[in-house]
Parts: sequence; structure tokens; C-alpha cells
Amino acid sequence: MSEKINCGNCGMLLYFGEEIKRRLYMRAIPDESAVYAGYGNVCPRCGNPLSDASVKVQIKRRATHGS
Amino acid sequence: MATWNKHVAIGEPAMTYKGVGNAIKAAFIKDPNTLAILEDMQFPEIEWFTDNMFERMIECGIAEQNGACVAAALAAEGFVPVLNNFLFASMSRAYNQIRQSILVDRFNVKFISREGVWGEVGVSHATVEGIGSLRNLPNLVIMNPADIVEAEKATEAMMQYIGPVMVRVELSPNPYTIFTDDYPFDIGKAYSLRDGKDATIIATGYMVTEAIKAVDLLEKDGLDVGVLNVCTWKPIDEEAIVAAAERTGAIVTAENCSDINGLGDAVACVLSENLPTPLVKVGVEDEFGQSGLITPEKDELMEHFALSAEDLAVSVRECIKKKERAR
Repeated sequence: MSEKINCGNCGMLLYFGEEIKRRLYMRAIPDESAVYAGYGNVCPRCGNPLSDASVKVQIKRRATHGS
Repeated sequence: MATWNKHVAIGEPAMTYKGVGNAIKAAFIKDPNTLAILEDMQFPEIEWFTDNMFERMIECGIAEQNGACVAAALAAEGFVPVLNNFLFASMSRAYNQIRQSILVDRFNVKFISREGVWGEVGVSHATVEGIGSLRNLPNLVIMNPADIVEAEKATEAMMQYIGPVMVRVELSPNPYTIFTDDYPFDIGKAYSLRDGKDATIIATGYMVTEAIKAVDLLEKDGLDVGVLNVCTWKPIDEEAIVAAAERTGAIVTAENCSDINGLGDAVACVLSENLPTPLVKVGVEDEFGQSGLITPEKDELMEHFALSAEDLAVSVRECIKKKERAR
């Protein structure tokens, strides 16, 4: 299961990797806000303020019994 | 002659490593936390770095495991290490350290990794299986630029992105200069050089140059063939691949590396899940890289591995026949 976060304004890839909240223990990145904070909460390419509302998050996983 | 989309202006061959060097230099000037990690081999623009950034270069010797751990430790302290190595050495010797020490914690380490089939470097260094071996590791962005312009833009994007990224720089003949300076590069976006109607060559790295040559060869047969450049292997641009398959109904993949677990397999997975389409893979077919003689008249390795434009054209014709049989 992977997660991709792109800037909602210019499309720059901000995060690609494991689904952020998926790991049970020892998460290197606790939640999406930590990704935005890494960039100073601003898209380095277009200056768009980064928040859950201003990015595009895509999580790729297959359908399962529990989903 | 074939026509090409905007941002494509095919010019003289140029070394992709030079494009990487330009972007790395700019990143080092801009960010004092950027450090060069060497493993007893060249670094892009090494003379400039030796003269201007000597205190920011760390030589780890022929000890790739050590280099990976040093990079991880520096990244943990907030530095941005740029690790320059042969991909075979990363993949085989330092696989565990890259996995455990860098990728699991998603440290901000940048890799410039050399690989491919070219020249007289020997079976040990002319590897073709490295990029495919790393493709299944989570958290790693992988790119394989097609020309000097894309190499510079991909490296710039790598330095801007926070997280582990590998730019594969090919040991290959110098590719054509393909893109204009205003080419809109994005990590994760494939770029269509031309759309075509009869088939699409989905190519990466140096093989985009051979795909461009193959288009002209096939045009003489009356075939209208598109070229989709896939620089980012991971995350791969599924939408662009499916769109190319919808448009032409026949896909040939082209890569300067093993066709097992490579771009061809990645494209095949995307299509088989979304839009099953006749496909032919062109790459190194389950054999090791090796030395070969290259002269202006003859490239022994391109001939041996059947990676030339003429070979690609044969595969395109074969794929179009597959498409017609499937109707």
C-alpha cells in the first residue's frame, strides 16, 4: 500500500512511500502534517500553503474484506 | 521526418552526467547542509567540488555498506547526503543498509547511481539488474533520465523533494539532446514525445534516443508510432501508460537494463490490471552485462543485446501484428 501526496496547486510530488498511518509501530512520519512541516508548510515550487485541504492525497490499496 | 510534441527539439548527443552535475552544483551552493558521499569513484563535476567544496566531501572508499550507513546517520542529523555510486554496488553490497538504515526510516538521502550496458568496464561493473532489484523497496523514488536536460531537471527535483530518491545515470552512448529548456518536468509524470496511432514505444533513459530513431525507420513503412518517455519508474505514471495503450493498442517497452523486473514488467503490470494490451519488451534478456567494443562504425554491445533502433522497429512490427491477431 503506497501513498502519494502532490501539491494541489502545481502538482509537485511532496511524498511518495508507505501509507503514512499504515505502520503499526515506529512510524518515521506520524501523519501528513509532518510531511508539510518538512517543507516549512509551503510548497517549495509554487508557494502554496500546505494543509490537508490544499494537497491531493492518493492511497493505493486493493479492496479487502475489511475495506 | 516525424513531427514531435511541444518541448521536444532533438539535437546533438550530450552526456547526461553533465546535467546531473549542473543541478548538484546548484544544490550545494544553495544549501550548506548538502554533503557529497563518495565511494572511491567519480562525483559529478568532481574538479569543481574538489576546488570549492572539499570540506563537504566524505570519501568512504570501496565500502558501499559503510557509505550507506554514513549517509543515513548524516540524514538523521538533518544533512542532505548525496551518495554517488555504481548501482551494482548499492544493489548487491549495500542492499541491507539501504533498506534498513535509509528507506525504513525514509531518510532524506539522494543517490546518483551509474549502470548500463556500455564500453569496456567488465562484467562486474556493466550491470543491468540493479534498478529492477531496487524497484520493490518501499519509500524509494527512482528516476532514469533520457537526456542532459531531463537529467538536470530530475536532479533539481530530487534535491527539492524531501525523502530518498535515486537518479540512475546510464553507462551508455551519449543520448540525443531531446528536450527544450522549458520542458515541464515533474517527478512521477511521463511525457509523450509524440502520440502516434499504430503503436507506442514506452522508453526510458538512453533508449528514448533509439526510440526516436526507430520512429523515423517505421515512418518509412507508413507506420505512425508514438513515444512515451518514462523517466520516473516509481511512482510510475499509470494514467499516461493506459492512455497510450488506449490510443494505439500496441505497446513496446525499451530499456537499457534487464527486462526482468524492469520498466517492461512495470508497464505490463499496469496494463494487465487496467487495460490488457499486446506488448513486447525490449531490454537485456536474462543475461549479465559485459564488455564490448565501441567504435564510430560499430557498437558491439548494442548489437549483442539487440537494443538498436532497428531492433526496436522489428519489435514494433511484431507488436502491431499481435494487435491485429487479437482483433
